[in-house]
Amino acid sequence: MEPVPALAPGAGSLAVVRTYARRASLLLWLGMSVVGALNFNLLEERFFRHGGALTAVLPHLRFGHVMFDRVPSNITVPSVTFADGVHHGLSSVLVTDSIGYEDARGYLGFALDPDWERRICGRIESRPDVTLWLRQIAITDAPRVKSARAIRCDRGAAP
Amino acid sequence: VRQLWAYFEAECNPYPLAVFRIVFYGGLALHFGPSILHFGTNYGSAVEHGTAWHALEYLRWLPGNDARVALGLSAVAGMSLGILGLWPRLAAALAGVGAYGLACVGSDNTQTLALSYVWFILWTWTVTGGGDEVLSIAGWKRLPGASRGTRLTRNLIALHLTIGFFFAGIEKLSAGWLTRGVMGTLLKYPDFTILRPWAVGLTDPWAAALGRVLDVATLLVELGVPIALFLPKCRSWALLGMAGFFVAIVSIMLVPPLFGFLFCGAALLLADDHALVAVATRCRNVAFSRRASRRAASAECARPDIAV
Repeated sequence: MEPVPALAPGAGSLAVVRTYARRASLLLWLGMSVVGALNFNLLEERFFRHGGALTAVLPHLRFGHVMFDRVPSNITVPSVTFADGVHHGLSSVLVTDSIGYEDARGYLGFALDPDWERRICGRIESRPDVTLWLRQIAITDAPRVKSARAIRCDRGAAP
Repeated sequence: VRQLWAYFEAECNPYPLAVFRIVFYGGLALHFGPSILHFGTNYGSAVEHGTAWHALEYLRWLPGNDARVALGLSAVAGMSLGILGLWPRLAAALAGVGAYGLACVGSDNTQTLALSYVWFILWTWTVTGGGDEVLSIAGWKRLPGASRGTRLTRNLIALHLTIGFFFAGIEKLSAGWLTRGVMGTLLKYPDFTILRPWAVGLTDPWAAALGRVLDVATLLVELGVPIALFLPKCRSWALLGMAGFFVAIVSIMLVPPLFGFLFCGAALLLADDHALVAVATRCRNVAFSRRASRRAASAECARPDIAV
Protein backbone atom coordinates (compact mmCIF):
# COMPACT_ATOMS: atom_id res chain seq x y z
CA MET A 1 0.00 0.00 0.00
CA GLU A 2 1.39 3.37 -0.97
CA PRO A 3 1.80 6.00 1.73
CA VAL A 4 -1.32 8.08 2.17
CA PRO A 5 -0.54 11.70 1.37
CA ALA A 6 -1.65 14.33 3.76
CA LEU A 7 -1.12 17.99 4.12
CA ALA A 8 2.46 18.40 5.34
CA PRO A 9 2.71 19.70 8.91
CA GLY A 10 3.55 23.37 8.88
CA ALA A 11 2.62 23.74 5.22
CA GLY A 12 1.95 27.31 4.20
CA SER A 13 -1.60 28.56 3.90
CA LEU A 14 -1.23 28.82 0.12
CA ALA A 15 -0.36 25.13 -0.10
CA VAL A 16 -3.38 24.27 2.03
CA VAL A 17 -5.69 26.37 -0.16
CA ARG A 18 -4.25 24.79 -3.28
CA THR A 19 -4.78 21.29 -1.92
CA TYR A 20 -8.38 21.96 -0.97
CA ALA A 21 -9.04 23.72 -4.28
CA ARG A 22 -7.63 20.71 -6.13
CA ARG A 23 -9.77 18.30 -4.13
CA ALA A 24 -12.90 20.40 -4.60
CA SER A 25 -12.37 20.57 -8.37
CA LEU A 26 -11.79 16.82 -8.38
CA LEU A 27 -15.15 16.20 -6.70
CA LEU A 28 -16.83 18.68 -9.03
CA TRP A 29 -15.34 16.97 -12.11
CA LEU A 30 -16.45 13.55 -10.88
CA GLY A 31 -19.88 14.81 -9.83
CA MET A 32 -20.50 16.29 -13.27
CA SER A 33 -20.10 12.96 -15.01
CA VAL A 34 -22.53 11.29 -12.59
CA VAL A 35 -25.06 14.12 -13.01
CA GLY A 36 -24.60 13.96 -16.80
CA ALA A 37 -25.12 10.22 -16.84
CA LEU A 38 -28.23 10.43 -14.65
CA ASN A 39 -29.61 13.33 -16.70
CA PHE A 40 -29.62 11.30 -19.88
CA ASN A 41 -31.13 8.11 -18.54
CA LEU A 42 -33.11 8.14 -15.32
CA LEU A 43 -33.91 11.88 -15.44
CA GLU A 44 -34.62 11.93 -19.21
CA GLU A 45 -32.82 15.17 -20.12
CA ARG A 46 -34.44 17.18 -17.35
CA PHE A 47 -31.44 19.47 -16.77
CA PHE A 48 -29.85 19.78 -20.21
CA ARG A 49 -30.32 18.22 -23.60
CA HIS A 50 -28.08 16.32 -25.98
CA GLY A 51 -26.51 18.64 -28.54
CA GLY A 52 -26.79 21.74 -26.35
CA ALA A 53 -23.98 24.23 -25.73
CA LEU A 54 -23.20 22.82 -22.29
CA THR A 55 -22.62 19.26 -23.47
CA ALA A 56 -20.61 20.54 -26.44
CA VAL A 57 -17.89 21.92 -24.17
CA LEU A 58 -18.25 19.60 -21.17
CA PRO A 59 -18.34 16.22 -22.91
CA HIS A 60 -18.64 14.11 -19.76
CA LEU A 61 -22.12 15.55 -19.30
CA ARG A 62 -23.07 13.34 -22.26
CA PHE A 63 -22.03 10.08 -20.62
CA GLY A 64 -25.56 8.73 -20.15
CA HIS A 65 -26.36 9.16 -23.84
CA VAL A 66 -26.26 5.68 -25.36
CA MET A 67 -26.45 4.61 -28.99
CA PHE A 68 -28.22 1.25 -28.91
CA ASP A 69 -30.56 1.69 -25.97
CA ARG A 70 -33.48 1.49 -28.39
CA VAL A 71 -33.21 -0.34 -31.71
CA PRO A 72 -35.86 0.69 -34.27
CA SER A 73 -37.70 -2.00 -36.18
CA ASN A 74 -38.46 0.25 -39.17
CA ILE A 75 -35.24 1.47 -40.73
CA THR A 76 -33.90 3.27 -43.79
CA VAL A 77 -31.16 1.26 -45.43
CA PRO A 78 -28.91 3.21 -47.79
CA SER A 79 -27.03 1.50 -50.58
CA VAL A 80 -25.63 2.41 -53.98
CA THR A 81 -25.71 0.75 -57.37
CA PHE A 82 -23.43 1.24 -60.34
CA ALA A 83 -24.18 0.40 -63.97
CA ASP A 84 -24.43 -3.34 -63.16
CA GLY A 85 -27.31 -2.76 -60.72
CA VAL A 86 -25.71 -4.66 -57.81
CA HIS A 87 -26.18 -3.03 -54.39
CA HIS A 88 -23.10 -1.95 -52.45
CA GLY A 89 -22.59 -0.18 -49.14
CA LEU A 90 -22.34 3.61 -49.04
CA SER A 91 -18.69 3.37 -48.12
CA SER A 92 -17.87 2.17 -51.64
CA VAL A 93 -18.51 5.66 -53.04
CA LEU A 94 -17.02 7.78 -50.25
CA VAL A 95 -13.40 8.86 -50.49
CA THR A 96 -12.60 8.50 -46.82
CA ASP A 97 -12.85 5.40 -44.66
CA SER A 98 -14.41 5.52 -41.23
CA ILE A 99 -12.18 2.74 -39.97
CA GLY A 100 -14.13 -0.16 -38.53
CA TYR A 101 -17.62 1.24 -39.17
CA GLU A 102 -17.64 2.23 -42.83
CA ASP A 103 -21.24 1.42 -43.80
CA ALA A 104 -22.63 1.92 -40.29
CA ARG A 105 -21.57 5.58 -40.32
CA GLY A 106 -23.59 6.16 -43.49
CA TYR A 107 -26.60 4.24 -42.15
CA LEU A 108 -26.62 6.05 -38.79
CA GLY A 109 -26.50 9.39 -40.58
CA PHE A 110 -29.89 8.60 -42.15
CA ALA A 111 -31.24 7.48 -38.79
CA LEU A 112 -30.10 10.55 -36.86
CA ASP A 113 -29.60 13.53 -39.16
CA PRO A 114 -32.59 14.85 -41.17
CA ASP A 115 -30.18 16.65 -43.49
CA TRP A 116 -28.04 13.58 -44.15
CA GLU A 117 -29.46 12.81 -47.62
CA ARG A 118 -28.33 16.18 -48.95
CA ARG A 119 -24.97 15.95 -47.17
CA ILE A 120 -24.19 12.46 -48.43
CA CYS A 121 -25.35 13.38 -51.93
CA GLY A 122 -22.92 16.27 -51.89
CA ARG A 123 -20.11 13.84 -51.29
CA ILE A 124 -20.93 11.40 -54.09
CA GLU A 125 -22.04 14.01 -56.59
CA SER A 126 -18.92 13.68 -58.66
CA ARG A 127 -19.93 10.10 -59.59
CA PRO A 128 -22.74 10.39 -62.20
CA ASP A 129 -22.88 6.60 -62.68
CA VAL A 130 -23.98 6.10 -59.09
CA THR A 131 -27.58 5.69 -57.93
CA LEU A 132 -28.29 6.06 -54.25
CA TRP A 133 -31.03 3.77 -52.92
CA LEU A 134 -33.01 4.37 -49.75
CA ARG A 135 -35.05 1.31 -48.82
CA GLN A 136 -37.53 1.33 -45.94
CA ILE A 137 -37.28 -2.07 -44.32
CA ALA A 138 -39.49 -3.52 -41.59
CA ILE A 139 -37.48 -5.76 -39.29
CA THR A 140 -39.73 -8.72 -38.54
CA ASP A 141 -39.08 -12.46 -38.48
CA ALA A 142 -38.76 -12.15 -42.26
CA PRO A 143 -37.55 -8.58 -42.91
CA ARG A 144 -39.39 -7.03 -45.88
CA VAL A 145 -38.86 -3.94 -48.01
CA LYS A 146 -41.80 -1.56 -47.51
CA SER A 147 -40.69 1.00 -50.07
CA ALA A 148 -37.63 1.98 -52.08
CA ARG A 149 -36.50 5.28 -53.50
CA ALA A 150 -33.75 5.80 -56.06
CA ILE A 151 -31.85 9.06 -56.11
CA ARG A 152 -29.45 10.31 -58.73
CA CYS A 153 -27.53 12.84 -56.74
CA ASP A 154 -26.64 14.79 -59.88
CA ARG A 155 -30.33 15.07 -60.91
CA GLY A 156 -32.40 15.00 -57.73
CA ALA A 157 -34.86 12.36 -56.53
CA ALA A 158 -36.33 9.89 -59.03
CA PRO A 159 -39.66 8.05 -58.58
CA VAL B 1 -11.38 10.27 3.90
CA ARG B 2 -7.60 10.17 3.67
CA GLN B 3 -7.91 6.86 1.81
CA LEU B 4 -10.29 8.51 -0.62
CA TRP B 5 -7.80 11.24 -1.44
CA ALA B 6 -4.99 8.71 -1.57
CA TYR B 7 -6.91 7.07 -4.40
CA PHE B 8 -6.09 10.15 -6.47
CA GLU B 9 -2.97 11.56 -4.83
CA ALA B 10 -0.67 8.67 -3.93
CA GLU B 11 2.09 7.45 -6.20
CA CYS B 12 1.60 4.32 -8.29
CA ASN B 13 3.07 2.04 -10.91
CA PRO B 14 3.55 4.27 -13.99
CA TYR B 15 3.21 1.52 -16.60
CA PRO B 16 -0.60 1.24 -16.91
CA LEU B 17 -0.99 4.96 -17.69
CA ALA B 18 1.96 4.87 -20.10
CA VAL B 19 0.46 1.89 -21.95
CA PHE B 20 -2.92 3.62 -21.99
CA ARG B 21 -1.27 6.79 -23.35
CA ILE B 22 0.13 4.90 -26.33
CA VAL B 23 -3.09 2.92 -26.91
CA PHE B 24 -5.26 6.02 -26.57
CA TYR B 25 -3.28 8.30 -28.90
CA GLY B 26 -2.71 5.40 -31.31
CA GLY B 27 -6.46 4.75 -31.42
CA LEU B 28 -7.12 8.44 -31.94
CA ALA B 29 -4.62 8.59 -34.81
CA LEU B 30 -6.24 5.53 -36.40
CA HIS B 31 -9.67 7.13 -36.06
CA PHE B 32 -8.81 10.58 -37.44
CA GLY B 33 -5.96 9.52 -39.75
CA PRO B 34 -7.98 8.67 -42.89
CA SER B 35 -10.00 11.89 -42.75
CA ILE B 36 -6.84 13.97 -42.25
CA LEU B 37 -5.18 12.23 -45.19
CA HIS B 38 -8.14 13.39 -47.34
CA PHE B 39 -8.09 16.81 -45.75
CA GLY B 40 -9.63 18.78 -48.61
CA THR B 41 -12.65 16.46 -48.89
CA ASN B 42 -13.38 16.36 -45.19
CA TYR B 43 -12.24 19.71 -43.83
CA GLY B 44 -11.64 21.91 -46.90
CA SER B 45 -13.20 25.33 -47.27
CA ALA B 46 -16.23 23.89 -49.11
CA VAL B 47 -17.17 21.64 -46.17
CA GLU B 48 -20.13 22.74 -44.04
CA HIS B 49 -20.17 22.78 -40.28
CA GLY B 50 -20.32 19.35 -38.68
CA THR B 51 -23.62 18.53 -37.08
CA ALA B 52 -22.35 16.58 -34.10
CA TRP B 53 -20.14 19.10 -32.31
CA HIS B 54 -21.49 22.63 -32.24
CA ALA B 55 -19.01 24.62 -30.20
CA LEU B 56 -17.76 26.71 -33.13
CA GLU B 57 -21.33 27.36 -34.21
CA TYR B 58 -22.12 28.81 -30.79
CA LEU B 59 -19.09 31.04 -31.18
CA ARG B 60 -20.41 31.97 -34.62
CA TRP B 61 -16.98 31.32 -36.04
CA LEU B 62 -16.44 29.34 -39.21
CA PRO B 63 -12.69 28.81 -39.50
CA GLY B 64 -11.12 29.77 -42.80
CA ASN B 65 -8.92 27.40 -44.73
CA ASP B 66 -5.69 28.41 -42.98
CA ALA B 67 -7.28 27.95 -39.58
CA ARG B 68 -8.54 24.50 -40.60
CA VAL B 69 -5.05 23.49 -41.70
CA ALA B 70 -3.72 24.78 -38.36
CA LEU B 71 -6.29 22.61 -36.55
CA GLY B 72 -5.16 19.59 -38.58
CA LEU B 73 -1.50 20.23 -37.80
CA SER B 74 -2.32 20.72 -34.14
CA ALA B 75 -4.16 17.36 -34.03
CA VAL B 76 -1.31 15.52 -35.76
CA ALA B 77 1.33 17.14 -33.52
CA GLY B 78 -0.65 16.38 -30.36
CA MET B 79 -1.22 12.72 -31.26
CA SER B 80 2.46 12.28 -32.22
CA LEU B 81 3.72 13.87 -28.99
CA GLY B 82 1.24 11.73 -27.05
CA ILE B 83 2.44 8.47 -28.60
CA LEU B 84 6.09 9.44 -28.07
CA GLY B 85 5.42 10.56 -24.50
CA LEU B 86 6.69 14.10 -24.79
CA TRP B 87 5.17 17.01 -22.85
CA PRO B 88 1.91 15.24 -21.94
CA ARG B 89 0.00 18.43 -21.10
CA LEU B 90 0.98 20.09 -24.36
CA ALA B 91 0.25 16.88 -26.30
CA ALA B 92 -3.25 16.66 -24.83
CA ALA B 93 -3.93 20.36 -25.42
CA LEU B 94 -2.80 20.22 -29.06
CA ALA B 95 -4.67 17.00 -29.78
CA GLY B 96 -7.75 18.31 -27.97
CA VAL B 97 -7.90 21.66 -29.76
CA GLY B 98 -7.00 20.14 -33.13
CA ALA B 99 -9.24 17.07 -33.15
CA TYR B 100 -12.16 18.86 -31.47
CA GLY B 101 -11.87 21.72 -33.97
CA LEU B 102 -11.82 19.27 -36.87
CA ALA B 103 -14.91 17.51 -35.48
CA CYS B 104 -16.66 20.89 -35.32
CA VAL B 105 -15.69 21.65 -38.92
CA GLY B 106 -16.80 18.31 -40.34
CA SER B 107 -17.59 15.02 -38.63
CA ASP B 108 -19.36 13.08 -41.35
CA ASN B 109 -16.64 10.42 -41.31
CA THR B 110 -15.52 10.50 -37.72
CA GLN B 111 -18.57 11.04 -35.53
CA THR B 112 -19.09 8.46 -32.83
CA LEU B 113 -20.25 8.60 -29.22
CA ALA B 114 -16.74 7.57 -28.22
CA LEU B 115 -15.62 11.12 -29.01
CA SER B 116 -17.36 12.38 -25.84
CA TYR B 117 -14.93 10.22 -23.89
CA VAL B 118 -12.00 11.34 -26.04
CA TRP B 119 -12.66 15.05 -25.41
CA PHE B 120 -13.09 14.38 -21.71
CA ILE B 121 -9.76 12.54 -21.51
CA LEU B 122 -7.93 15.24 -23.45
CA TRP B 123 -9.40 18.08 -21.34
CA THR B 124 -8.45 16.22 -18.17
CA TRP B 125 -4.97 15.29 -19.34
CA THR B 126 -4.29 18.91 -20.32
CA VAL B 127 -4.83 19.91 -16.69
CA THR B 128 -3.35 16.95 -14.84
CA GLY B 129 -0.43 15.90 -17.08
CA GLY B 130 1.58 12.75 -16.32
CA GLY B 131 1.90 9.44 -18.12
CA ASP B 132 5.33 10.17 -19.59
CA GLU B 133 7.39 8.59 -16.80
CA VAL B 134 8.07 5.35 -18.69
CA LEU B 135 7.70 3.99 -22.25
CA SER B 136 8.45 7.48 -23.50
CA ILE B 137 11.25 9.61 -24.88
CA ALA B 138 11.12 11.67 -21.70
CA GLY B 139 11.64 8.58 -19.55
CA TRP B 140 14.31 7.09 -21.84
CA LYS B 141 17.33 8.02 -19.73
CA ARG B 142 15.78 7.58 -16.32
CA LEU B 143 16.87 4.62 -14.22
CA PRO B 144 14.44 1.70 -14.30
CA GLY B 145 12.14 1.88 -11.30
CA ALA B 146 13.14 5.44 -10.52
CA SER B 147 9.87 6.85 -11.82
CA ARG B 148 6.60 6.63 -9.97
CA GLY B 149 3.46 7.93 -11.61
CA THR B 150 0.72 9.92 -9.95
CA ARG B 151 -2.65 8.31 -9.55
CA LEU B 152 -4.54 11.49 -10.38
CA THR B 153 -4.63 11.23 -14.19
CA ARG B 154 -4.79 7.45 -14.17
CA ASN B 155 -7.67 7.05 -11.75
CA LEU B 156 -9.59 10.10 -12.91
CA ILE B 157 -9.72 8.78 -16.48
CA ALA B 158 -10.46 5.22 -15.34
CA LEU B 159 -13.19 6.27 -12.94
CA HIS B 160 -14.95 8.50 -15.47
CA LEU B 161 -14.92 5.87 -18.18
CA THR B 162 -16.18 3.31 -15.69
CA ILE B 163 -19.01 5.65 -14.71
CA GLY B 164 -19.91 6.07 -18.39
CA PHE B 165 -19.81 2.31 -18.95
CA PHE B 166 -21.95 1.58 -15.89
CA PHE B 167 -24.60 4.17 -16.76
CA ALA B 168 -24.76 2.84 -20.32
CA GLY B 169 -25.97 -0.36 -18.64
CA ILE B 170 -28.47 1.58 -16.50
CA GLU B 171 -29.81 3.27 -19.62
CA LYS B 172 -30.24 -0.06 -21.38
CA LEU B 173 -31.93 -1.53 -18.32
CA SER B 174 -34.38 1.38 -18.15
CA ALA B 175 -34.97 1.18 -21.93
CA GLY B 176 -36.28 -2.36 -21.48
CA TRP B 177 -33.41 -4.55 -22.64
CA LEU B 178 -34.65 -7.34 -20.39
CA THR B 179 -38.06 -7.52 -22.06
CA ARG B 180 -37.88 -6.02 -25.57
CA GLY B 181 -35.49 -8.39 -27.33
CA VAL B 182 -33.30 -5.54 -28.54
CA MET B 183 -30.32 -7.60 -29.71
CA GLY B 184 -32.70 -10.08 -31.34
CA THR B 185 -33.99 -7.22 -33.54
CA LEU B 186 -30.47 -6.02 -34.24
CA LEU B 187 -29.34 -9.48 -35.33
CA LYS B 188 -32.04 -9.40 -38.04
CA TYR B 189 -30.75 -6.15 -39.55
CA PRO B 190 -29.91 -6.38 -43.27
CA ASP B 191 -26.65 -5.66 -45.03
CA PHE B 192 -25.15 -2.13 -45.16
CA THR B 193 -26.38 -1.20 -41.67
CA ILE B 194 -24.88 -2.20 -38.32
CA LEU B 195 -23.85 -5.83 -38.64
CA ARG B 196 -20.60 -6.95 -40.20
CA PRO B 197 -21.25 -8.67 -43.55
CA TRP B 198 -20.40 -12.14 -42.20
CA ALA B 199 -22.93 -11.77 -39.39
CA VAL B 200 -25.87 -10.69 -41.60
CA GLY B 201 -28.47 -13.45 -41.68
CA LEU B 202 -26.10 -15.85 -39.94
CA THR B 203 -28.30 -16.28 -36.88
CA ASP B 204 -31.69 -16.06 -38.64
CA PRO B 205 -33.40 -19.18 -37.25
CA TRP B 206 -32.33 -18.50 -33.69
CA ALA B 207 -31.76 -14.70 -33.73
CA ALA B 208 -34.45 -14.06 -31.11
CA ALA B 209 -33.10 -16.65 -28.67
CA LEU B 210 -29.50 -15.62 -29.16
CA GLY B 211 -30.57 -11.99 -28.84
CA ARG B 212 -32.06 -12.69 -25.40
CA VAL B 213 -28.79 -14.22 -24.27
CA LEU B 214 -26.83 -11.25 -25.62
CA ASP B 215 -29.23 -8.76 -23.96
CA VAL B 216 -28.63 -10.32 -20.56
CA ALA B 217 -24.89 -10.77 -21.16
CA THR B 218 -24.53 -7.12 -22.16
CA LEU B 219 -26.33 -5.93 -19.05
CA LEU B 220 -24.29 -8.24 -16.85
CA VAL B 221 -21.02 -6.94 -18.30
CA GLU B 222 -21.97 -3.24 -18.32
CA LEU B 223 -23.39 -3.29 -14.80
CA GLY B 224 -21.12 -5.93 -13.29
CA VAL B 225 -17.65 -5.22 -14.66
CA PRO B 226 -17.39 -1.63 -13.32
CA ILE B 227 -18.18 -2.98 -9.84
CA ALA B 228 -15.96 -6.05 -10.18
CA LEU B 229 -13.02 -3.86 -11.23
CA PHE B 230 -13.04 -2.34 -7.75
CA LEU B 231 -13.02 -5.73 -5.99
CA PRO B 232 -9.45 -7.02 -5.88
CA LYS B 233 -10.46 -10.70 -6.05
CA CYS B 234 -12.59 -10.18 -9.17
CA ARG B 235 -10.38 -7.65 -10.93
CA SER B 236 -8.47 -9.92 -13.28
CA TRP B 237 -11.72 -11.63 -14.35
CA ALA B 238 -13.32 -8.23 -14.91
CA LEU B 239 -10.38 -7.21 -17.09
CA LEU B 240 -10.75 -10.32 -19.22
CA GLY B 241 -14.53 -9.84 -19.34
CA MET B 242 -14.17 -6.25 -20.55
CA ALA B 243 -11.67 -7.25 -23.25
CA GLY B 244 -13.86 -10.18 -24.38
CA PHE B 245 -16.94 -7.95 -24.49
CA PHE B 246 -15.33 -5.45 -26.86
CA VAL B 247 -13.73 -8.11 -29.04
CA ALA B 248 -17.21 -9.68 -29.41
CA ILE B 249 -18.85 -6.33 -30.22
CA VAL B 250 -16.24 -5.29 -32.76
CA SER B 251 -16.30 -8.68 -34.46
CA ILE B 252 -20.13 -8.76 -34.84
CA MET B 253 -21.00 -5.09 -35.29
CA LEU B 254 -19.66 -2.20 -37.33
CA VAL B 255 -18.54 0.00 -34.43
CA PRO B 256 -15.42 2.13 -34.33
CA PRO B 257 -12.49 0.34 -32.68
CA LEU B 258 -11.95 3.56 -30.74
CA PHE B 259 -14.47 2.23 -28.17
CA GLY B 260 -12.32 -0.83 -27.59
CA PHE B 261 -9.13 1.23 -27.30
CA LEU B 262 -10.78 3.47 -24.72
CA PHE B 263 -12.60 1.00 -22.52
CA CYS B 264 -10.10 -1.87 -22.54
CA GLY B 265 -7.40 0.72 -21.87
CA ALA B 266 -9.42 2.21 -19.02
CA ALA B 267 -9.91 -1.21 -17.45
CA LEU B 268 -6.16 -1.67 -17.57
CA LEU B 269 -5.78 1.63 -15.71
CA LEU B 270 -7.74 0.23 -12.79
CA ALA B 271 -5.61 -2.87 -12.54
CA ASP B 272 -3.11 -2.86 -9.71
CA ASP B 273 0.18 -4.72 -9.86
CA HIS B 274 -1.37 -7.92 -8.47
CA ALA B 275 -4.12 -7.99 -11.10
CA LEU B 276 -1.66 -7.39 -13.93
CA VAL B 277 0.57 -10.20 -12.68
CA ALA B 278 -2.46 -12.50 -12.29
CA VAL B 279 -3.65 -11.90 -15.88
CA ALA B 280 -0.13 -12.27 -17.29
CA THR B 281 0.37 -15.50 -15.33
CA ARG B 282 -2.96 -16.91 -16.51
CA CYS B 283 -2.15 -16.11 -20.16
CA ARG B 284 1.33 -17.60 -19.78
CA ASN B 285 -0.08 -20.77 -18.20
CA VAL B 286 -2.56 -21.22 -21.06
CA ALA B 287 0.19 -20.67 -23.66
CA PHE B 288 2.53 -23.01 -21.76
CA SER B 289 -0.01 -25.82 -21.48
CA ARG B 290 -0.86 -25.55 -25.21
CA ARG B 291 2.83 -25.62 -26.14
CA ALA B 292 3.39 -28.60 -23.86
CA SER B 293 0.48 -30.53 -25.40
CA ARG B 294 1.72 -29.67 -28.91
CA ARG B 295 5.18 -30.97 -28.01
CA ALA B 296 3.71 -34.13 -26.56
CA ALA B 297 1.64 -34.67 -29.72
CA SER B 298 4.62 -34.13 -32.05
CA ALA B 299 6.79 -36.45 -29.92
CA GLU B 300 4.04 -39.05 -30.19
CA CYS B 301 3.99 -38.72 -34.00
CA ALA B 302 7.78 -38.96 -34.22
CA ARG B 303 7.88 -42.32 -32.39
CA PRO B 304 9.21 -44.97 -34.82
CA ASP B 305 6.60 -47.60 -33.90
CA ILE B 306 3.82 -45.20 -34.85
CA ALA B 307 5.61 -44.14 -38.05
CA VAL B 308 5.86 -47.81 -39.06
